[in-house]
Amino acid sequence: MTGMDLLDAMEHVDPKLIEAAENPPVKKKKVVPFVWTGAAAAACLAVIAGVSFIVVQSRSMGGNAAASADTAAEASAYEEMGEMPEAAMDAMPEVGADADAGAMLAPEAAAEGAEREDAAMAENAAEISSEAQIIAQLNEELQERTADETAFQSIELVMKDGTPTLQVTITKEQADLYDTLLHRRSDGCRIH
Amino acid sequence: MTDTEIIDLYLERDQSAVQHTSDKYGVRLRRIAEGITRDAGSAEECENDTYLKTWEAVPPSEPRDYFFAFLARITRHLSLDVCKERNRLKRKAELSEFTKELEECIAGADDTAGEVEGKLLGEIIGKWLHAQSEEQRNIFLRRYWYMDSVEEIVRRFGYSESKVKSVLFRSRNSLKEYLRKEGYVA
Repeated sequence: MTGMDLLDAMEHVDPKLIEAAENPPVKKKKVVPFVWTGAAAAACLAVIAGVSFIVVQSRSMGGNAAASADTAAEASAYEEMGEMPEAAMDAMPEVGADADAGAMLAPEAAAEGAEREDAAMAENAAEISSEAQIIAQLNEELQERTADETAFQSIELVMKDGTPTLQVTITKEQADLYDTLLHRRSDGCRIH
Repeated sequence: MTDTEIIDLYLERDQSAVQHTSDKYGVRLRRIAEGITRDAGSAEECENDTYLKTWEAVPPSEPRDYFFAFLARITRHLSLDVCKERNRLKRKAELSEFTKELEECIAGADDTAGEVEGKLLGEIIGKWLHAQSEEQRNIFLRRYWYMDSVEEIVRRFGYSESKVKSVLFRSRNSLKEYLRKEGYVA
């Protein structure tokens, strides 16, 4: 038996195999194991949670510092008048004159600062909500005028310079129409 | 036109069967012949001879389910004959590369006692091929049935040259082991 015999004998192999080898090879998609996908998702979530925690904490610290500064100013004003309110008296030992005082706040003062922050956020949310209502009304009016089912291409709440802002994407024609409508109203709704 | 319809034309001795065969499979058959002979003129000759052999073989054969493989086998056989003739005339040793590689599979074979009929050997190789992975099988067939160069296989499968060579090397070793177990190689 020689190599040529083998080469010749190859012609007797199953015709189905010959046809299969003639077809272009199918590229298999690389399957990413579920474990790795899950691990990657968990890592992303952990990073997002960590960043969120840092942001919330730093905002809370800033709010407390501002609240402390307010209290300190109030206290010094009363001092000048010769009297001190109870709340200011309570806050005074923890509140320093310097900007780092917020970090040294007692738990009560911190809780108070957090409450104020919550109230401010609620107020802000109410503002946003009213803005959203205005946008909705404008949208309704716009849709009536344009007879278009989706007057906005997209609408989303974004943070712009620390202020929650509704960002609306519209066409040029719609923008012109909006200008006309806004001029007619006195709401002063901000549209970016 | 389906393969069955073309076969029916051959059975009816309708000469348009050859034209339909050429229209449907001509390019692929010429590619096989050119891959083996490495010569466009010889490839065209082999293609035309394939139609003639098919005309002579159908009937009695009725390869309805494997018509392309049937044609390809004839083309390959004719192309190998062209190469053997060239070897005989000492013009070029195109096949030596393939035969040398395949001889690795039969190293130690007893030539006097181990003569095996071609068809039986083909069936043994076929059994071994069925046991291989699809990828390994197709690479082996591209190399030793279609007689593609390693570069052509690299392009076809998108693997590196070293991977293709490694797959072929492992395949040859596996075939050698199979032939040894079956008693064809010492």
